[in-house]
Amino acid sequence: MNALRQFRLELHRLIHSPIALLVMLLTALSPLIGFTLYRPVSSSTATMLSGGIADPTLAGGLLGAILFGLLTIWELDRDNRSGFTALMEAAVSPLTSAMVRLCALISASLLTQIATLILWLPYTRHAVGAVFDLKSYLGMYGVFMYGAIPLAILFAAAAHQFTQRLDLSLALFAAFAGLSLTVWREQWQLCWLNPCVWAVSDDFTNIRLLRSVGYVRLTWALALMGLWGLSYLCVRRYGKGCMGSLLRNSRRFYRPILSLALVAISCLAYIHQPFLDHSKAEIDPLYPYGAALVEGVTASSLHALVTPNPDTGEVYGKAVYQIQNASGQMQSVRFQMQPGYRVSSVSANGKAVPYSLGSEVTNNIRELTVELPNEPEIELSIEYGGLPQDWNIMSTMQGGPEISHQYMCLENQVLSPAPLDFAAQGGLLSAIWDITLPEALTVIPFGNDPVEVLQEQTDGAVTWRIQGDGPFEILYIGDYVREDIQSAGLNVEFYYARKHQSIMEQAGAVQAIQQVIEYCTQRIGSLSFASDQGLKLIESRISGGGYAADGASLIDESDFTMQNMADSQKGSSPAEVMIHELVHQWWGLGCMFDPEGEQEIWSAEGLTTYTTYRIVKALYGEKIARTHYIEQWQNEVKNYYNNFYVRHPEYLSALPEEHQAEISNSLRTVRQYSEMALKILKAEKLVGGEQAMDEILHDLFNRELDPAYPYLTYQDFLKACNLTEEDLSLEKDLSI
Amino acid sequence: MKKIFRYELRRLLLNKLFGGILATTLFYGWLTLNQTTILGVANTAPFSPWSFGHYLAQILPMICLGELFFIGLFAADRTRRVSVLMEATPAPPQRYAAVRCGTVMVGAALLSLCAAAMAMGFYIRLFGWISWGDLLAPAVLALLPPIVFCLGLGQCLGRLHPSLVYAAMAVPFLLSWLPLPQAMDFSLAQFFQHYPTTCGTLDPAFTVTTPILINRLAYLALGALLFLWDGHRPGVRPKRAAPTSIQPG
Repeated sequence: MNALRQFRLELHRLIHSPIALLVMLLTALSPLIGFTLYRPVSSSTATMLSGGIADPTLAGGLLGAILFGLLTIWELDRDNRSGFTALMEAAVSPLTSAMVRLCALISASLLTQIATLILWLPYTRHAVGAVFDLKSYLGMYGVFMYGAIPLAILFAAAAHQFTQRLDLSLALFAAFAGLSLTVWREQWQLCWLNPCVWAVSDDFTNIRLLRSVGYVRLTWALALMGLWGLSYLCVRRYGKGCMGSLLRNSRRFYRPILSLALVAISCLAYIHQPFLDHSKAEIDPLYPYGAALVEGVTASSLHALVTPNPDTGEVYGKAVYQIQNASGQMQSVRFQMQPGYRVSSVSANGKAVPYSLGSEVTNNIRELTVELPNEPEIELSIEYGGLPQDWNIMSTMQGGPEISHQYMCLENQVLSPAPLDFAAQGGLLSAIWDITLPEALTVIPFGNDPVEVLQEQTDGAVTWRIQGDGPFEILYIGDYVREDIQSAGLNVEFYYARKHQSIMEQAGAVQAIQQVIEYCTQRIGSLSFASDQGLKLIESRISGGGYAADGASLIDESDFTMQNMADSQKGSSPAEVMIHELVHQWWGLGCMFDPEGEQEIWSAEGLTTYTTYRIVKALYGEKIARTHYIEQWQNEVKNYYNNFYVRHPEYLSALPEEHQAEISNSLRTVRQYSEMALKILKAEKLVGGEQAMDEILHDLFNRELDPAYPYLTYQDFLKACNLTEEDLSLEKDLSI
Repeated sequence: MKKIFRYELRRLLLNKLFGGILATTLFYGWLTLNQTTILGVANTAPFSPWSFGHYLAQILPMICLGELFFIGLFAADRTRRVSVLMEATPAPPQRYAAVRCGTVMVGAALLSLCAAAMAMGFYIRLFGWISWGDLLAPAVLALLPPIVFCLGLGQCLGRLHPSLVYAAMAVPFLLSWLPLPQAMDFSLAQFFQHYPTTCGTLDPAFTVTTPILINRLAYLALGALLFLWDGHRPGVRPKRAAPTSIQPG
């Protein structure tokens, strides 16, 4: 009997077996659990695709993999149970049989997946609504759900072929699944069963995230195929045991070589994954600001030609710097590079110069060191490109550097290398970026830099030109709608995804923005930097928070779901994240805080969190504000003071380095956000109430700045309140 | 019976299954120590009775899984086929069943001891800590009742059909994972994690509340009852085993 015929017979038998049919049926129904009980994504991010597609597919993958894994072991043990092993081996080669059964099981799983796709399509389309997108549906069902099932089949089959025992195979499979669900659940490359998917975007694409999960699954597939190949060699023959069969079956040398090669390739794929960098565990908040400048070297201009590739997610470019070397000797200078990029050439005045990429990565920055010639004027050209790598601290929250046909986020070093240890001539670097994009996209610089269409290509691509006065630029690129809002004398440009237009209009997003701007302008002061250009509010792809910089504020798309925007009962909700980020225009930009003071408790976050509380109190009432802010701060600060390692720092220093870093970083966040906000609230009570505090904050915001040190310090705040640090101490009493 | 007990124990401990389960449990325990226990629970030290109890609660499902596998070994068809021969021996069947249960309990106890020893080694290496006595109470509280419960459950189900023992392996995981009320809490992970924060002091001494004590006694009693009920069930015979035994003349 040839293998193909045997495969057809085995597949026919399998899909007519009651147990297999039950497994297939349960697998097809398993996305139902994701609509109800198992909601790992939508419990934290309220987008429609999270609840309508991501959760069901993750649930389907989890349950389907477990079911098919159990079915695999059950089917492979059939001969042992029935006692027909000898008869079967006399009729069919055990090796062929093993291969055929594996193929039949994988084929059955594929048929099940196709049926599942068809079954859930109508309901999902209805549940997700206006933001439903067939590509996302197919992508998530294919990668999030089906990606796990063949892995389970491979492992279960390997376990049984190694052990030839039902009980041991089940134990091994349970352990393998259990590891993924528990100890590996936050190791993004290891959790094969429950991938790290924290959010999916409604309004923009999710290509990066799908690729990342697909890569992990592919890596596991290679490893498990190799493992299966090794177990295939252990298929018992001629009455021999495991080792005897292994030696016998290895006579065809290509078999073990192929298996080991697959395992080796998977190891290489694991080590050389392209999505996250290998930044040092300990975050250095001072890097790269504190770098000593190279004397005699300055830069006067930058012109970068940038070409993102939306098909592959890569970015290529050529950055040309005009550099002045007045030192009279050769100089070594450093640039900040995206860690995922490679440099193909560096030339100065047309001649190649020595350069090297650093081996270490710090804070998602890799250093490029270039040897500048001893010439007064240098045109330094750097050709670079590759797949941008996200910071490894974002391993469980991937998807940020999205580059696709519908959306791109190009930030700082992703666009072009930036100087690290030499300054701009006269303090200003004239920068131009020419970026070529697909036709339908709009470019929005995150700030007030001008942007224009430079050229329209014959193939439909458009080249945009952005001009700036520094080496850094952040671009948000997508199909955006723009609303112009007037509020408290400020001209606000509000950009949001076209997909979301009807929801924005229905929920009155514009009015919410007006309320925040009016409150802050009235109580704190006008934004001095907004001036002629005004303020930009940009909806970004889901990121778990927001970001504010000069003249612009980024707001997460989850802030704008219908559910969040209309719900006045919600406390610390995404809608209030929107308020928080808008308030950073005042505390953080309008009034700056020393970045080198990041180690301390004092930062923009304390005043911003406090002001957000005051706005929520004005909009929704004291009860909601107390429940979702004051009480939350008190709980977090109490937990901080009670933390074992805070009370016993000597034990913290005894821990391994990565644990020390993890604990220290999490403690700093609590102090900056919750502890400082609580101290400011205590100050409010001590100075005589809200009105008195408003006057103090207004005076601090509008104070005359010292150009040499324009930052607002904690001592400035205490002095304005006429208080001391001891007055605001919370260690003995947290009640306000 | 001592000889039989030693034989059954050797048969269990030298089985590949025991080695595999022990390795898996220790690996899982090691990862739990490094990722969860090291941070300390409820603001207590990583080596406090609360953190240690929480660690044991996390690996309890693996220990129960192992225990059910051991029961599955004895309930397997291959073993049941020779039950006619074993019942023909002078040894009383109930005693023999008790010997087997004792073997399973020793196996589960060995898994627990190895996991606990690994935790202690972890504490000594990182913190230089060596206060053993404090850890006995949480260990007994976390492990003993669920192990006895799983023993009784496995015995009962194994008598009905061997496959049911494997189906029962999902029970410890489900009971540990589902948000059950405190009265039904299987692993006590929530108790170890949250109760110290309600005591009003930092680093409270290890204490047990009455509901938890009742919970533990209930699981202990339920397991014992299941075990005793199985032992005294009249006329129960596995379908595939021979129905009669030879009576001595």
